[in-house]
Amino acid sequence: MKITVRQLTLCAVLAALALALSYMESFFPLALLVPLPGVKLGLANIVTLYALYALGFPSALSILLVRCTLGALFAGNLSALLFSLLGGVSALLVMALLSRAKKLSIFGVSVAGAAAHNCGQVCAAMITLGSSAPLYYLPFLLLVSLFTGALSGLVTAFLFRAMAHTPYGKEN
Amino acid sequence: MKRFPELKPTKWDALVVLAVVLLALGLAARPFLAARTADALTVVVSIDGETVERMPLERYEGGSYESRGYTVRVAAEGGAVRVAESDCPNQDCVHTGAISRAGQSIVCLPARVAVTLEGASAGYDVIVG
Amino acid sequence: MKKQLAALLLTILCALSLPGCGEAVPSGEARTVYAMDTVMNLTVYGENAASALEGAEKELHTLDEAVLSRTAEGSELAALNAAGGETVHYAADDALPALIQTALAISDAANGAFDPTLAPVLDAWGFTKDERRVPSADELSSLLSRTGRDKVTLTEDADGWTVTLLDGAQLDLGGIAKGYAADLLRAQLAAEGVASATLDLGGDVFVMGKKSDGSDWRVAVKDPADTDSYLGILTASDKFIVTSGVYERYFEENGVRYHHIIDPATGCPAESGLVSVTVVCENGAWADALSTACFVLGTDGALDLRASLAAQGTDFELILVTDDGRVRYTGGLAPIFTPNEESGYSYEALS
Repeated sequence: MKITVRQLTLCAVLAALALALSYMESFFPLALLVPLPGVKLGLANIVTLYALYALGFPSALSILLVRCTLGALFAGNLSALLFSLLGGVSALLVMALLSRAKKLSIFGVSVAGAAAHNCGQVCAAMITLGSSAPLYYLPFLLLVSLFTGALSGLVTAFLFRAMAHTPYGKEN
Repeated sequence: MKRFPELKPTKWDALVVLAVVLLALGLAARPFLAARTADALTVVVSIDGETVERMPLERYEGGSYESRGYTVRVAAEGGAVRVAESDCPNQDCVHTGAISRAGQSIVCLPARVAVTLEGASAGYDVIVG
Repeated sequence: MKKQLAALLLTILCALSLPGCGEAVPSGEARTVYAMDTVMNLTVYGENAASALEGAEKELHTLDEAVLSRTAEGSELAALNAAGGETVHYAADDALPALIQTALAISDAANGAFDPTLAPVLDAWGFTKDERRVPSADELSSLLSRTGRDKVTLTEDADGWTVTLLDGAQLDLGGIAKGYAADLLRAQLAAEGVASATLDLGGDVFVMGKKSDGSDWRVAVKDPADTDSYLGILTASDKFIVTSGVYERYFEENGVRYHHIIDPATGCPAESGLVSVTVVCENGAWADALSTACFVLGTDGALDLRASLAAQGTDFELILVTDDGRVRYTGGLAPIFTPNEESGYSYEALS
């Protein structure tokens, strides 16, 4: 696959951005509002979502993998890798599928991605714990994902508008 | 730019929201549904009267339990459980064979390990014999 | 196209849902107690259930360790067995002599088919200590000379009881203890206001009162040939149901299977053509001892015993399973016993 230096640089920047977003969102006290284990804003999905449209699935996947691996390494917590990988890959797959639907806006895709992310993380929790107890949280997490997904969709929409003057934000 | 997204929300997005809501409701209703199916047997393993394992029979893959110096290995296959082997002196637990109905149990007395199947009423309340 | 994708999405997300734990709704309070060399499952319903269960568990351990155990230090029975022929005195309200009296009465009624003095023989077979072996014929005949109900002298007077064991006789009350314990628990539960319970003391079942929906308890009788199946269902209330069978407690040596129900006449496992005997009775100790006696006696002997006891005012019903695949049950059970048609046995109701 031919990749330009510009694409490569953009990928690297996006990966760094995703890492930063993950780190930043831990400062937002969402757990106070919504007392559920594993609840978060999911801001890193913004990057995945943007990369999916702007660069395509392979690049979005690479950024995701880099972000997850580095994130786990920096946090010094390898078990977190399972959670972020399962969540992130589920989200990416679902968003990749739905992004082909021309009738859906970025909001629909984002909400679906957030929902899939939660499903993936609950799966990781079930694997880790060896029980189906985490499934009891999933309905609530899914409802929250309606809002976090909409939020990510909104920010990504703004991102596209802001990038409108570049090759990676222009309508074809 | 691979593909440019539609930046304004469309009415089809509502379908996605609906799907997520339905999924959430479906998952929330799951425990109630599972408890009503007649086949929902639960395996309960207890040592000296204390439950150490409780899970649906269909997900149970057997286990090895140590108690009072004995090791009891329980196998699960084909919707039934049995004691596959035990190093207890009398082997009554092994002789009991397989059980597959609610209310039945296999006990290894020396080890005080009991494997019981709980579930929807199977036409009787207690078993003698 | 979009609807298909939405459906696909829903399917994928749903596929991530694993079947959850179906929680069996427990009704009543249940407890598992290990006592008297066996496992007991007690289920009690009603307001006082929890405290009644506590009391029941304590009673079982007390009975086991202080009265009936042959091995526990401080057990009355162990002390009696160790008395070496000396007469032992008991208070009028003591449990042990009353139980011995019942055991002897049943032994007399059954012409020795039930024998509480088989301790030396049971020890020789190793069933007591789980070191099972086949004793030699000489060993058995010498041990048998120490058994027999006539070697127990029991008298009751104004001050209490006296018991003497003669000629090296040793008592083992395992064949009646659980039934007796069930009698005691029944009285204790009733005194605490419990009206509904099921007691499974090592396979000896007592069903008390009715279920919470007002119907009789349904008791399934295990099929000796396939312990995953059952012979039939008994609907009962306030009855003791005890089965003696040879399909769980046995050992094999040189290709021969030896089970644990010893015929007092031969000192060897009983060969009476029966595979399982179930007794239904209103007294626990009798139900327990009678199931053993009837097994030893065989079909005809058991039915004769039933007739002779009925003449004396003690009634009980029987389910007899013979090794030729027949299940016969006495007339009193006809209205409450529902055979399991799929079991492959031929069923016959007796008069």
